[in-house]
Amino acid sequence: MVSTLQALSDSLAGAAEGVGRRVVAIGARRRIPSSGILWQDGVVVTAQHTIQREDDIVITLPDGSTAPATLAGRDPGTDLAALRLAPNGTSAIEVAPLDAIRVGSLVLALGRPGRELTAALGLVSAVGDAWRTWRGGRIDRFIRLDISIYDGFSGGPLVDAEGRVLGVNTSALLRGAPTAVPAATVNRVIAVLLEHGHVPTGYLGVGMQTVSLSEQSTGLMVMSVDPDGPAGRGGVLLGDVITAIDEAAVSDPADVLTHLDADRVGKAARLRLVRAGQPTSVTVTVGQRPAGGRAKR
Amino acid sequence: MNTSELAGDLRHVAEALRRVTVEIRTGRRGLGAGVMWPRATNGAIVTNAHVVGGRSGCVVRFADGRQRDGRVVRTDEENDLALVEVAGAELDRATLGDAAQLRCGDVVLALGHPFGMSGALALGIVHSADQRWIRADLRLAPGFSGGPLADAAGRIVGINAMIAHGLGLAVPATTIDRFAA
Repeated sequence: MVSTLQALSDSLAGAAEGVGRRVVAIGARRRIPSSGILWQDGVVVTAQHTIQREDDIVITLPDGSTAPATLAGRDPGTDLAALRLAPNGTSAIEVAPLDAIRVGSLVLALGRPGRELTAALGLVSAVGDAWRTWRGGRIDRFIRLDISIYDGFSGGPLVDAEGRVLGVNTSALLRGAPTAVPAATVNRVIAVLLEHGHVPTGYLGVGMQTVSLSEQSTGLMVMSVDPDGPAGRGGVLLGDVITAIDEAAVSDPADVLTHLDADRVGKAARLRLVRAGQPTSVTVTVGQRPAGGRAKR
Repeated sequence: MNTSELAGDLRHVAEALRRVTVEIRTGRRGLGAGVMWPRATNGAIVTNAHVVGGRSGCVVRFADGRQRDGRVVRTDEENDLALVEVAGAELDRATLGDAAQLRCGDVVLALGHPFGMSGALALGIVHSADQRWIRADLRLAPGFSGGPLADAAGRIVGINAMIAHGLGLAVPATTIDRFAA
């Protein structure tokens, strides 16, 4: 008779073995390789922050063979990157739906920081709604993990005890604490990265800081303006206080990001302002954030 | 999965491991664990070399409370192993498993005496394994040294030797067999 403990061991080892066939090692940084996942034929997904070198990337496949890879694109907002390698007929990965990510689920974090597959065991300790990372990326579920982080954690898959892939692990989005980007978000971001090489983001061209307007209300004072940016061309001036965008109040620079998703590029946004104490408004056309323009929204 | 059965299985494994695990004391402060090794000659106990720390003798305390003097017969510093003989002691015999059969993700259990707490159990999984070490994602502490690492069936697959980068490192049973025979 197989004991329950033995059955648990078998399902964890089976989950590791099954998904482990898709876990690769990526040589794109000094010292220890990082982990990645064969997501679809010719495409490896990993954690963007582990790619420290964009040339001469070598992938070690589960069978020990190596293959050259190129960076197809990276998105610091969600800490995801896509790499291309020669297609070899790999099927697209099967992933679990968002509602399969539940508090208390036993999970494995798989990695391949070298030749060998590695695993850590933990729990999903909290699940929340969609959230925006400190780098502005939109992630479809907040996942906090109770799990130890070892070499190769970031970029490896989060797998439940049934062997379903829940997401891609990273330690770079929650101040070093372990989290995972859900598979649904990975599918969405990777499709954009493979097409554009980056995730287009809306851009206003202003630097802002939260200020109090009265005891009840706050706004965002414009501390810098890109004169050639959408806000600058639309007439926003240094010292203006932005109180709302499209009639939604804003009180934190992060609030602005919710109005700057890729689908807003080229569309009009109405900014309500307080200028020299008087309410006014301007309409600007949301631009596309230039590469490297991180300080301004 | 039935969680009360799971708890029962864990209790069963813990009890089996406690019967074959001893406490090893050297001097006033040193405390480690040891395993009554089935294939050892002369009914001996295997522990870590760093637990006996170069001494020729130690005090062995069995799970039933008996206490005997042990003699360090042999050590292997490279593999951190020591063989301790206890004259006239009747020893229970551990059931051994095959460390080579361990798979990444398999459940493993460790028994030891962390900070003087006798016979404490820790549960984790195999992180990776090679011929030199079994690396386990398992929360060990000082006092687990020399104690057993067992598979989900309670078969001993190695002896816990150290903590490195948060991972528990155990000497595989095959290495111990060669040393203890």
